[in-house]
Amino acid sequence: MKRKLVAGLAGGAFLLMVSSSLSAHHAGSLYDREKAVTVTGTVTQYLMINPHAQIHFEVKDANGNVEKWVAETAGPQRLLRVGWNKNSLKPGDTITVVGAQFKDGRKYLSIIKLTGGNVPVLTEGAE
Amino acid sequence: MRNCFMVSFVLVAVLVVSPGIQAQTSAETGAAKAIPDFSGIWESQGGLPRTADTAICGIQGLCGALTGIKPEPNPDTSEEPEMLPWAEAQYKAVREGVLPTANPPQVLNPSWTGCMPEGPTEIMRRRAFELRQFPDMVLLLYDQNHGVRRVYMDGRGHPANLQPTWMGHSIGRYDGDTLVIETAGIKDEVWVDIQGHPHTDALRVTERIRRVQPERLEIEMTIDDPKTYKKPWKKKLVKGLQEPGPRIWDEAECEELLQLGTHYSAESQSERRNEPTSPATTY
Repeated sequence: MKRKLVAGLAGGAFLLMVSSSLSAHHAGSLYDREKAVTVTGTVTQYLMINPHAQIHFEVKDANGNVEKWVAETAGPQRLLRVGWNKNSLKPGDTITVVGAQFKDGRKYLSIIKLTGGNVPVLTEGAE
Repeated sequence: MRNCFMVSFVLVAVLVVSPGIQAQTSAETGAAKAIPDFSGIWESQGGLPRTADTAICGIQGLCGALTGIKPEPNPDTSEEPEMLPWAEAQYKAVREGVLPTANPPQVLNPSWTGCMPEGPTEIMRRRAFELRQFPDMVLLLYDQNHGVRRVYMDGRGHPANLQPTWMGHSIGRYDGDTLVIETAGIKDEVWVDIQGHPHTDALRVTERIRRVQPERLEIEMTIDDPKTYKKPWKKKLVKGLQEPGPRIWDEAECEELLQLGTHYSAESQSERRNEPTSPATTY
């Protein structure tokens, strides 16, 4: 049976529960395939570009220091299909990102999930 | 009275001629129906199933590894070609990341390092495309970097003094239910595929395209280059029909990444200048 994705607008940001059952299958090159990380921050720039859209955001640590992060998600074609557009995020939006971080510790993420802003919340339904 | 006669004459003439027009139209329609219809937007199959958990994944393999969601099998297949010694050495060098004979050293696919087109074989495997058929031409329109392949269907051959280009020169014909495309004149810089298989000016690529199901296209690609390979070898590609609608978008990744300074080529230039950069986008 074919499945389709149903998008609704997020009422607000909420924290994702990251399952501890996320398991690694093999090592990657740049990104850590062993575990996903969850980061909450404030969008500074959203670029709906090819081949991967980029979200630049800032995260405050416990001491109030600001860390700059860059997260990459799918390309515009794939995003458009599930309801994203150039207005899905704007500077100042609070987002929570689940993704794989660079193994060397740099603040780059390859996104698995993102909530916040005007990003559609995806659910699945039967066609 | 004279006017009435003229009007009657015109009406009769129209009635007499009309069946002829209809017959001609029907004949043309019939001829058009005899040509297999490949029109539509086609894309590769396989990969992670599109679910709420994978819909916005940055890198599918990474998502699969971290979520445990298994990818659907990719139906594309490729034979392992038997290479001549020079080709085997070059292929090995490419696979190891450095091609020392190139100047500057070619460390990656030129379509990534230099924003160059992927060439007809790899773009056919990797990218979605819209296929449009006309009496004298078939157009293959790709979503990646404005890629276009023109297939001449008017019976011409390849030019005598064919100048190599990124997409090569393509001529085509219909063989029953199959669209046959023959391509020559592909630049040496083009890799046959993402693995880095090389070629020379002797390369001839033959694609046999069949619509095996209403929503499934199969492409048998034969790579024949006696200066590079001991014998012709084949790839088989499977494409699925996209839903109707404007599903081809303007994917100008080179321009966008160069503007940001995050394309591979920009990063390598910065490295030579010892400047810090953000990482090149991972494909």
